[in-house]
Amino acid sequence: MLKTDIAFKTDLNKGFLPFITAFMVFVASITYATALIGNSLASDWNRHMSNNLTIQVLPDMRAKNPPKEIEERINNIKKILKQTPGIKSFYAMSKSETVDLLKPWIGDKIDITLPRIISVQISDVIPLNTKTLANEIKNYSSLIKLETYETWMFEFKNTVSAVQTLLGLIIILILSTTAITISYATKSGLNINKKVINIMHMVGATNKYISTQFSRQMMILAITGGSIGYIISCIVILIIKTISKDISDGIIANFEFSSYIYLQMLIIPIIAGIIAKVSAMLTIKKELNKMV
Amino acid sequence: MSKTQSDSTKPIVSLQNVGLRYNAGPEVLKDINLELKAGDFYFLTGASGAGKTSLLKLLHLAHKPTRGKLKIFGKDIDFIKQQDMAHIRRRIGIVFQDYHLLDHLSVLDNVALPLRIVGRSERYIQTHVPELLEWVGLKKFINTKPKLLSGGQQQRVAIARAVINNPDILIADEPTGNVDEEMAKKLLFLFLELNKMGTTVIIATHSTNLIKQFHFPVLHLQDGHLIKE
Repeated sequence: MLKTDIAFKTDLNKGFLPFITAFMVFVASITYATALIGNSLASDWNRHMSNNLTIQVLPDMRAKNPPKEIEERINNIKKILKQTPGIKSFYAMSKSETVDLLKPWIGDKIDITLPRIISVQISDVIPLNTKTLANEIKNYSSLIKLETYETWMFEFKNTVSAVQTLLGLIIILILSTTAITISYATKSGLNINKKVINIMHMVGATNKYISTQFSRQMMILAITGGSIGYIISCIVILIIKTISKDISDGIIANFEFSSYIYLQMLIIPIIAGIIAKVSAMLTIKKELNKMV
Repeated sequence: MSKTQSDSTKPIVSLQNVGLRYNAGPEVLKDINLELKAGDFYFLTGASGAGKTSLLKLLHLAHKPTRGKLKIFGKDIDFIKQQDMAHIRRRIGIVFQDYHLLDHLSVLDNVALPLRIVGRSERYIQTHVPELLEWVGLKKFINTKPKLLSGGQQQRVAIARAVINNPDILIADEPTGNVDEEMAKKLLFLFLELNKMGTTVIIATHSTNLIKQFHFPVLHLQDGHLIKE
């Protein structure tokens, strides 16, 4: 139960401690949320990318009739894909679709044979051996490339992982600063309450009793501040989410995440409360031993 | 209220050749030899600066003697751990000359402090504290902060806090200094009631009237020396 039997004077810490904890929890929560969103984004992309392949069919300019030749090769690739286990579906972009796609850059008066794309969707049930498929395609024609995104995803995952480690370190730094701040606030609180503590000693209070009461009070102040910081960070994230929806279809169209994130973020004020209690407890024990 | 029965022949407080000095100052208590048994009642007298408050501070473990031996409840205080010190203090009720009340707590919370420290239930506190406050004439000030009370009223709050836990030893430094004669008598009767139940009482006072009225032995301090009268 978060109740103190003996209320200590809290003139100094009443405003300061909740404010500083609110600020720290706010920054830590936003950082943590960024890490969570990054993680969910990476997972989504990974899931999406690992279920798709792209086959790029390049034109053979040495052929007598390149447009006809490329169509033949596309048909043969389709046959290969149909016979390959682990392929759910595939779609070969037509010549006109390819032209439409490139129109903004090269215009619609195109008299060259363009490379063609076959988009392949991999089965969730039957595993696909991409190496075998790549070899089969390579043996058939050197002008056909299979793109699995593996290298790109590997680099992307590494980047996400590095950013997450950095964010984790920032959170540790913020929480450590909180612990140090609480320790100093506790020391000043003890100085203010020197007379109170002395009287409590005189009427038979043990150091453990005093430190439990005092640290509990510090924890209540920290949790109050932490809750405020948490609420503010939730509001900020909600605003960002709303804004990102408004400008979706744009750059941050993928800025979508589960509301579960707000629950996950709750860990930060809880940790802040525990840090406040432990940090205050350790400081008080040390200081009380000096007093008696 | 029941008290643990102790052997009345054995001293609960024993001072042997005790001396006390503050830092490098002169000795304020010199060669004090005293034994207090359960149920003893003493007045402590002496001129200002004779060392009354210093002796009382030794008795409630606010200071350790700079020389000699001090034993309380059979324990040598030179070898008592902080934890045990707290438990011994719980058995000693103390009324400070300047009350030592907690200004940010109500009268009820001040008096309830020793009970909360020993882990008494809120139900027990809400029953016994108002009862005692009624006895000392402060029931209507139960939720008042001490700063709003007169000196005499604050003194009674301090007395109520000292006796609420039915202590084995009651030490009071000028407990009737700021109250009228009638209230002084009433408070002395409260101390007498406790004494009848086995509490050892030591009252430092300047009041010759009280000493004459209640025929208890007097310990007199003169220039740091203790003289039994």
